[in-house]
Amino acid sequence: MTSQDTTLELINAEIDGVLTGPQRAELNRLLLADPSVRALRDGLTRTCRKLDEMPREEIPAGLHEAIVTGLPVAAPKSRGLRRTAFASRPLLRYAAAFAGGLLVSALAFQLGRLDSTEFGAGQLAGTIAAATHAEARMIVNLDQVHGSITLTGAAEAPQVVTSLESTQPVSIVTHLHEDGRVEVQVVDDATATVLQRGNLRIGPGHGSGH
Amino acid sequence: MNEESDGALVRRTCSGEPRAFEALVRRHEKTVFNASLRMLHDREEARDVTQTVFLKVYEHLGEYDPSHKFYSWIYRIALNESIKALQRRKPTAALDLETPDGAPGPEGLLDRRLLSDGMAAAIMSLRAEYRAVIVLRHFMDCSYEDMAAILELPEKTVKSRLFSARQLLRTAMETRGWASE
Repeated sequence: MTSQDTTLELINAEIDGVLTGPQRAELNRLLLADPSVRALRDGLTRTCRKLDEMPREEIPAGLHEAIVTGLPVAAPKSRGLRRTAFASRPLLRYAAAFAGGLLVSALAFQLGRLDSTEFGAGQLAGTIAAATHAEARMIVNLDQVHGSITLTGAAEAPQVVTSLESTQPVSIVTHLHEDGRVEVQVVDDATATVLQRGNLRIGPGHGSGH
Repeated sequence: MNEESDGALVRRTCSGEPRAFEALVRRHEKTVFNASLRMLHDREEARDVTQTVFLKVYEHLGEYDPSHKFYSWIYRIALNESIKALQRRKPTAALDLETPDGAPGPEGLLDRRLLSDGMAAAIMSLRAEYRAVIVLRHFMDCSYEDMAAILELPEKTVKSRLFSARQLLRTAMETRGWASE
């Protein structure tokens, strides 16, 4: 280790609060002997203080709820019961069903028009539209399909925008409940199994998701 | 206050108590979000990464080895997901510290609104592996040992990388005139 390496290690140990007694003595000796070491130490200390003073941001409104409600329906699998590894799956086997390979679509649903009493009805139809801003988002990260489903627009007329990549046919089933909550289900078309379920909501007045 | 350990919450979740996982989310979500934010410098991306991290954690909870710290595992996933998000960006967003004179600096490629803080810009000027050690040490309060476990690198390598990253940051701050107090 060169003397420069040693000097750096001592300075960083001081910054990280792990300097031992003998190391402290050695650092003090170096600081007294060499102004360039003092400059280096002052610069690094100032840099690290600025780093530590940077504010920790609060999580965005609705993120906690989006995480919790976006979890898969099934309980976590225990070791030994894992699904087939990604590499052994037939990658993009069903990609043709989604516009020739990679599906990145935006299907908008005018949910305000739906009869909220039609529970359980699959509502996979609509027009192509782009999301203007995200209000509440559910991340989908399954073996079969991944991407996001976003609820956007005004609370009284929300739109569901999907951006998904899939390796097999799946349906996105949405249902607008009377309380303003939009229930979203990712359904495996082959087995009609609900792979993931979540609830999205645009909060009245403040526009944040839940 | 006697808080239930991460390991106990993991066991309860695997036993079919979803509320236990919610407690884990509440405990770690802010750190994961802030780490992702510092890696990506984009709130929307950080939000998505945070959500993906907890989804992955939930899906793979059965594979968690309780002999390791739970937060090391979750932080590793957070860093990996952040790096994946960086890789999905355009190649021009792969940031290098050194830019030729007169060329737009890496901060020019980013949302200027978010770069009012010189230190945030300096962090974004680092390559991802240097940014990761800065985030782990200064935003996740990880020890050298934790960082070595999370990054799966020898502790000596982690320290060397951290020291280099701090030097690069210091240089970036000084050369761009952001170092004054």
